[in-house]
Amino acid sequence: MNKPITVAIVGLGNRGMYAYGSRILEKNDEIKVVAAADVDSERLALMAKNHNIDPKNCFNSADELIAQPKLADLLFICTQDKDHYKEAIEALKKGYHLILEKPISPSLKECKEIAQTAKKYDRQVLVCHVLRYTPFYSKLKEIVDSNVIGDIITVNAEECVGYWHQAHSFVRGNWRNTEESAPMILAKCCHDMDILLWLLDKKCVKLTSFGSLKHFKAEKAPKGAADRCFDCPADVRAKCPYDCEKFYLDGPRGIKAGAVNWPQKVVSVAPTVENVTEALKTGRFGRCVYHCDNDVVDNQIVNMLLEDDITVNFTMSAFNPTIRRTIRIRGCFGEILGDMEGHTITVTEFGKAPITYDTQTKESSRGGHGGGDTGLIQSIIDFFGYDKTSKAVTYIDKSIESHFVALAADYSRLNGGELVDMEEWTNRF
Amino acid sequence: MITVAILGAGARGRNAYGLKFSKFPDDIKVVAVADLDAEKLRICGDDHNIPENMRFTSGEEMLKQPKLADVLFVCTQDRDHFGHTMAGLEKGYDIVLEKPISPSLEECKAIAEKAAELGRKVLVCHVLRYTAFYTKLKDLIDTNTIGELVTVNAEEEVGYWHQAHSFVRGNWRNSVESSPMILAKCCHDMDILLWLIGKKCLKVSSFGSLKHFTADNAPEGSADRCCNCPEEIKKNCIFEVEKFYIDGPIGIKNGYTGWPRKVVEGKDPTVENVTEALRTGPYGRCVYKCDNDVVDNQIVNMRLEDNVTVNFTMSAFSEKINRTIRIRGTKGEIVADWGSDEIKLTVFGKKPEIFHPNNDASAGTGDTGGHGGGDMGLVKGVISLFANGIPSKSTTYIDKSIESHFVALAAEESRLNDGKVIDMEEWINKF
Repeated sequence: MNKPITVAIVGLGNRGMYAYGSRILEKNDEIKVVAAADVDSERLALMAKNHNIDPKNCFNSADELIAQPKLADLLFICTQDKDHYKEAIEALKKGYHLILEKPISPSLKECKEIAQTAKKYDRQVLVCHVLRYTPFYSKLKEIVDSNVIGDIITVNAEECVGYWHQAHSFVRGNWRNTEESAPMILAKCCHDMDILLWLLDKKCVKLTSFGSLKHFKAEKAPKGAADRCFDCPADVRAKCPYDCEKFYLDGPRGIKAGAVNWPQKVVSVAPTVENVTEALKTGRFGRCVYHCDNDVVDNQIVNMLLEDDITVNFTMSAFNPTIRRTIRIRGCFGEILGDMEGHTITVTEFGKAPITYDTQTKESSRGGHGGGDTGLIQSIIDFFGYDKTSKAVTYIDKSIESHFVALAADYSRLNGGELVDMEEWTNRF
Repeated sequence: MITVAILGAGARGRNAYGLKFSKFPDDIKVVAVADLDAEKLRICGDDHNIPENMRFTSGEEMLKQPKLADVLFVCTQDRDHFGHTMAGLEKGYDIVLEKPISPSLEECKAIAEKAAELGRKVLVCHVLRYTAFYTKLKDLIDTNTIGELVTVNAEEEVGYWHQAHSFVRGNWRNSVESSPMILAKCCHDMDILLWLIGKKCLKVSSFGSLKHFTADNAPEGSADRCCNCPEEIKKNCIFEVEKFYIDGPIGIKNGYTGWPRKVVEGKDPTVENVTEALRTGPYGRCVYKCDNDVVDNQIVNMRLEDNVTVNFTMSAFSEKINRTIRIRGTKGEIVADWGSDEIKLTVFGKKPEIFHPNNDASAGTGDTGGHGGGDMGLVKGVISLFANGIPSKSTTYIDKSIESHFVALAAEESRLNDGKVIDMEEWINKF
């Protein structure tokens, strides 16, 4: 590579600023941020300083950045879900290749249009399905593709959101409300849908789904509960696992235990015991989980029939002690059990002794989607810098499938579990 | 002391129940037996010193007699349950009925109605309920340790060789001859799920197929029987019979002479007679060339009352015969593995607690064979109910047991109709 790949980033939230921005900084010989935009001027200034960006290439809105003549080879779009569409279309017209944070868009019509525009202008759009780039899922893909367990027959996968993570992001936080962001099955589980389709490399033919917001609503509030944890009677708080003080202050992930990254950084820009306490007293993360304006589900199950009669069932559950994903893949000659939290994959060829792989690496322990964020950046360097395609890279026309499946599941759920024929569904948009 | 008549002296009638009665000579006594197979009839008759005039060569023969005992155990083939049970009820027997009740929902309903009409008890052998493992799970749920139940993920792992044995080569391979797999094998699971959760099922949808054990998947050049198959193909085929029955996981050379002894009907298995049976009998057939039609994988989505969601996987393709279950409630999670007898309970914010119900059960008999102690549990439950009038908390009667059959067959209806969603109320009213 003669000179580094140049990058513009719009949206400097947790993803744009840290997940990608910080990792690009570690690879500046090969990839470099040369332009950035955010509505928050403080964040913009911090980004400009960290990446040494020319002030004339810093903008107070994504639209403004995109309106300029093309400033870089690639554009990272890391804004809010509902803004992706307009920015992506304009940027493709400008000639950018795009790295697009998931979900592509909560509207399937818009997803399709982005894909069509990319084709028309002959640009690449890579969707940030970062799990594909993790050591864990890369290994799983390698094992499945090696055919060691024969044809895949049935898969059981679970996305265990974790009780406090659900309360944080999907009851009190940014993704609590479908109207404001996207249905849970898209916002959270398009990762899982993408991984399942990618691992199995088959199209989904039919699906059905059940699920609801069962618990985090007013009628489930303990008797005497207040609207905010700090106003709640001590005996009620003591029994409530969702009491905010238990997560953010005292618990194993609490600020008092020295945890200062996510999710503390979401609660307070400068997380200290004082700042977090203050934010909980007045801000949205101190609200009672039974008295929020949330409407996304806390449990959903999806049954899928893929090509060649492969069956897949998937569970999304809010109610788990820890955040984890598990997968059980059954083939005609063996089975694979994967536990992302433990980083382990156990392969048993029938009649033989099981083999367990430990996929833990320095990167995967560091967080960032189990090493996926770093993996994505490396793949972008390989792809745009050296013309090497990693197994994990797919373009938007493939990534879009996970969105069609996720939103078909949501449709099914909202219609009493109605059977959705995927071809018919896809043609609706 | 109660007296029992056994109808059908096969693996269930003779071994699972009959032999266990002998351990309670003061409480229960087998006084009559019937079987079509003379050898089985002789063996079971001798087990209990039953006089010749109380040994019958068919169920019909036995049921022609006046009532011979307090309780009738119906352990015949699935499709014969209805006739035998109806005749037994008419004769005045209380009945213990091997599952499934019947592959026909009309017949299931008719049995329940007849029992109600005549005021007789019909207990269905949902033996898993009587195990230390599921009893512990039931206790944990009923004592509200994890709050209100939200979603459950359960798996029935049939085991690759068990599938080949029972559902490809063996007695339950063909849905016309016996029942659909989801009923024959999984009505246990449906029953356990409904019993554990304690709610009715409202909607069901299901996908599944016989994907692997079909002629299309036969290796090129394979023969109709393993013993005729070319060496290099045999060597690479994990379903090859010698690997199972002679050398392998259930091999006679490893001293494995219990279930599945069906390979050599009635006789004590030896290397010689097993080898001979595999040369000529049904269990020596190529798994890709049998007259099987039951599925090898099926998934079921259920919505229960109060929006509890349940998904269930039945898979032929596992190394071990196992059941696993993951139960999520509003205050905690239970992850349980039947095969390792382990139940992990995590109340949110607290340290996980691990239980080993079969070890922990100090009052247990140590008998964990036969459905993890369930067969013994059922026998004790039967004694307690009929001899002492005390039903165990695992005991329910046919009006309740029938639900699992409606759900299982609704899942089958859905599967055969591409996953169509079945409304349970509408479904039940059809029959």
